[in-house]
Amino acid sequence: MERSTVSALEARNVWRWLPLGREQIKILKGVSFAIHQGEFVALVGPSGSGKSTLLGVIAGLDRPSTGSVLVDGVDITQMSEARLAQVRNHKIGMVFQAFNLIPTLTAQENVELPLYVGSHDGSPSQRSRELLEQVGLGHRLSHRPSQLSGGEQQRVAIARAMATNPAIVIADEPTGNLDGPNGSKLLDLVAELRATSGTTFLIATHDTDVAGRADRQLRLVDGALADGALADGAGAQR
Amino acid sequence: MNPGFYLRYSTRSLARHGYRTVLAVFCIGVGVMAIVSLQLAGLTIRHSLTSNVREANGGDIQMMAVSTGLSQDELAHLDDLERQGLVSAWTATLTPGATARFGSGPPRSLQVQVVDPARYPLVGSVKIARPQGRNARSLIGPTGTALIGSTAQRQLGAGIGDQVQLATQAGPMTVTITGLLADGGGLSGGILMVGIDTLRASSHLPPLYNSVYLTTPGRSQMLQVAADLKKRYPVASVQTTDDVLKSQEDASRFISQFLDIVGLLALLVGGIGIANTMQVLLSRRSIEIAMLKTSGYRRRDLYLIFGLEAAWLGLAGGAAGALLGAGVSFAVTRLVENLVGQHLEPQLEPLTILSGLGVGLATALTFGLLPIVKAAEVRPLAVIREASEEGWGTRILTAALLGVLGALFTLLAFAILGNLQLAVFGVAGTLVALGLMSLVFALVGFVIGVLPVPERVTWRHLLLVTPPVLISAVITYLVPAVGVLLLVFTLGGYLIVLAPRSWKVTVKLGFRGVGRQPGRTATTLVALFVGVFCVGLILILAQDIRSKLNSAISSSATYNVLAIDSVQRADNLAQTVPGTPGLKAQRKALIMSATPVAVKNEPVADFAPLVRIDQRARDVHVEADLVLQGVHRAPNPVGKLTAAIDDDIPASAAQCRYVRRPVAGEVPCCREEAWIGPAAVEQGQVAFGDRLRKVAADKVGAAQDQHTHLIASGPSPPVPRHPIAPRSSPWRRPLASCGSWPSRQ
Repeated sequence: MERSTVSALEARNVWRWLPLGREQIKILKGVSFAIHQGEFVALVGPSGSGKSTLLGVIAGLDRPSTGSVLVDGVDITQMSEARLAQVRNHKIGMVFQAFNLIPTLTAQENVELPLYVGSHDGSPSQRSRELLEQVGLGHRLSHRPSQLSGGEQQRVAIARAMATNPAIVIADEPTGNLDGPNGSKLLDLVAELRATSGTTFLIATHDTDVAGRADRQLRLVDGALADGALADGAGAQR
Repeated sequence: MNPGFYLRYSTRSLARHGYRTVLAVFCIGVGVMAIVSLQLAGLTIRHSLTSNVREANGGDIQMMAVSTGLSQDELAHLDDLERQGLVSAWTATLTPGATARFGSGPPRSLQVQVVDPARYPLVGSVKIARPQGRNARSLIGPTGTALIGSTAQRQLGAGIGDQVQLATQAGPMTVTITGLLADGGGLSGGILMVGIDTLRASSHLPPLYNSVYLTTPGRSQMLQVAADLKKRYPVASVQTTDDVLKSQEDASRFISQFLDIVGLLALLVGGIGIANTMQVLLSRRSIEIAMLKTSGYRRRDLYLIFGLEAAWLGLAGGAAGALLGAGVSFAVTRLVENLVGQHLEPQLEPLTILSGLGVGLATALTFGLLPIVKAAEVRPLAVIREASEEGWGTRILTAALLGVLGALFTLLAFAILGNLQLAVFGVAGTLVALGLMSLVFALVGFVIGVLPVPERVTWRHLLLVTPPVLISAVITYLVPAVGVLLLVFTLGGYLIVLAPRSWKVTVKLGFRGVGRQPGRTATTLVALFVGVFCVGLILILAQDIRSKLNSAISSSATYNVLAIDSVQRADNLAQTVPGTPGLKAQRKALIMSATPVAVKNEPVADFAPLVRIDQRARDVHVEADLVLQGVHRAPNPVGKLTAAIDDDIPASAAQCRYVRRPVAGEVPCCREEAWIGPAAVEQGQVAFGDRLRKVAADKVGAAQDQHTHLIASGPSPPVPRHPIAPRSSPWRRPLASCGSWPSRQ
């Protein structure tokens, strides 16, 4: 895929420390990187390396202690909570290992969820139907999460993340709860969505197969990006 | 924003939470049910006390001259008032005591009410039980006829068509029973009602009326006439519908307010219940909330979603509570009816029932506020990792929200009670008490959380457990109800060591679970406490009302059994009673009516020109020899009765209440600050102590002494078969007090 020169996401010297008793524990230590539009980047690293903290900071769920994060060219670190909510709604889509679908809503309603806040063009139901068709669940519109398989639930979650046509989709171990074939299908879906919509993907994973399909990998070790972290991954060479 | 989506989301979330939702609805429902049912009961009582006030008063104005009576000539002034257009109509009645005999049966004391059937009553009608469809005018219009009350009928054993012989102050007469009076309607069951023509036909004496009833064209005329009557008839008491209404409203307002407070307490329990339930529901949804925030939902969007959930709970609970409350109000009304001994017509006011919905909604939103706002504070990061512990910001927010909750509940209490001061102090006091209680329970939770569960018996463990066991034993000895629970719990400290390992693990998990959430433990314990407290309070207050009524009865009747008989038979009775099993004490007395005209030769008119007879205490007896001279204005005048006995005579508290200033020798009363004197004057009637009784009996003669009261009281007061209660209203204040004797109805 052609790499854009515009950054969908950029982290500049991001530090995050948390108090533990009288001490401050440094979780992130000056992380800097940029992800260009349309890229598929894998964030890898051992447990406790700070992956989840970094995901939280760059997704606007948490604030860095110092440093800044730019989403689609906009610095989100100094924003008010209300403005940040708008950015999360319009610019960022999120996918989680545990799917986190709302159990009382149907697949279609789950996808519509982000479209009911903020201002969005078009009809939410039309958009959700299109997305569910796209992820192969056009026949499961009115099914609740409990009536769907794990793979199907994760596809609904991806459709939800894509609902507002965000600048970047951030996924935290999206294949962690799926078996091999389903995980593979999901990655195929991600590739397909990238191809059709040009959406940027950042996926945090332990799975080397997943990381291997990314354009490049960011390797986080002890709160800092390891040398060569910005190197292209195997996927980028395909 | 899509309203349909928000509605679907909130309703489905509630449906998903199943029994917890039902529990929350139940909490609100119970509170609303209590409020609605108690408000309806209050309305019922208020309505029954105030709606027929004119009928209860016999007209716009009621004038009583119990002991003195008023002659036809004296009442001629009322004709003038009627001619002037100030009075629409008036009628007078007299109620001489009488001894009645049917056939060869024993003579019975009863009250005869003499009325003018053409004019009586001015308002309403005399309720006739039998024969149906007839009115008083047709039944007692003819001379020699009478209507009989149910009690009198039972006592005499006479029925319709029977002839009854009467011995009254006005002379002997024979009447034929033509009808049976219906119970209630302000008439005592122990009366015999006759027409004025019947009395005139049997007595050559002009009648002296005790009661006069007047109607006026309007309120201004009523007030004008009442003022005129007070001035013209100083020995009479004048009561307008305003006076009755005020006393009835005071009583009914007190009852309504009491019932509202009980309802509010129940609502508070419901509120704490819903706060607790919502707290649990929302805390289990923190990931979902974080997910919504991740999707761009702001706090206000979450307030809307969870506010809708609370609103549904409130509406459902309010609707269920309002409907149940309407049903329960019948039961509450019946309960109050039994307590006060008066028939009450249940009032199902639609507005009150509908207000249950509003109360449910307001309560759910008020008490849901705290969990809702706290839920909306969940950080979106919680979707990735468990949120950190509560910080100071959250604690300050919680405290502020509790303040807002208090203010909102105060507003709700104000809306229900209609009294801002009561609402503010009530809610503030309750919140302070609950706060202190929460602290104590949180401490208890903390202590439970760190209790050790040892694997084997150790000296350390024994030293830890033994002191609490000993303290619990002491508490058990002093307060068994509480102590036993403590003792069982502390003895568990010994037993747990001997328990199987799996039990120990379970107990340890339980202890640590309690200690991990001391706040929630405290809230749950407070809710439980308030619930138990409310139930206990309602029971205690209900008992208190009953005991107050019993005490009112017993203070107005300082006896368990009252026997009234004619003077001729009194000696027989007096000889029979001492042999009665269980008899503790007995007293007998002779009553005669007298209007004091002077005290120690000082004319009453000089120091009490506007003396009026207080009808509520018209038969107060003085167990003392009064220094007075009196003239009885009975048909057979007794002449002057002069007696000057001792100065150091104790008087009853009932008298003290009426004393306004010391007069005539400043005779000390039973209370140092009060004085005897006008007391007796204001009572209008005087009974004589034993020494004077003989003097009075000699001077007056048996014919005027209609009754002898014989009083006996047993060691354990039995419930009288026919409780003696004030006649027209249960809320009328009792005669009250030490040494006073009951009013003869």
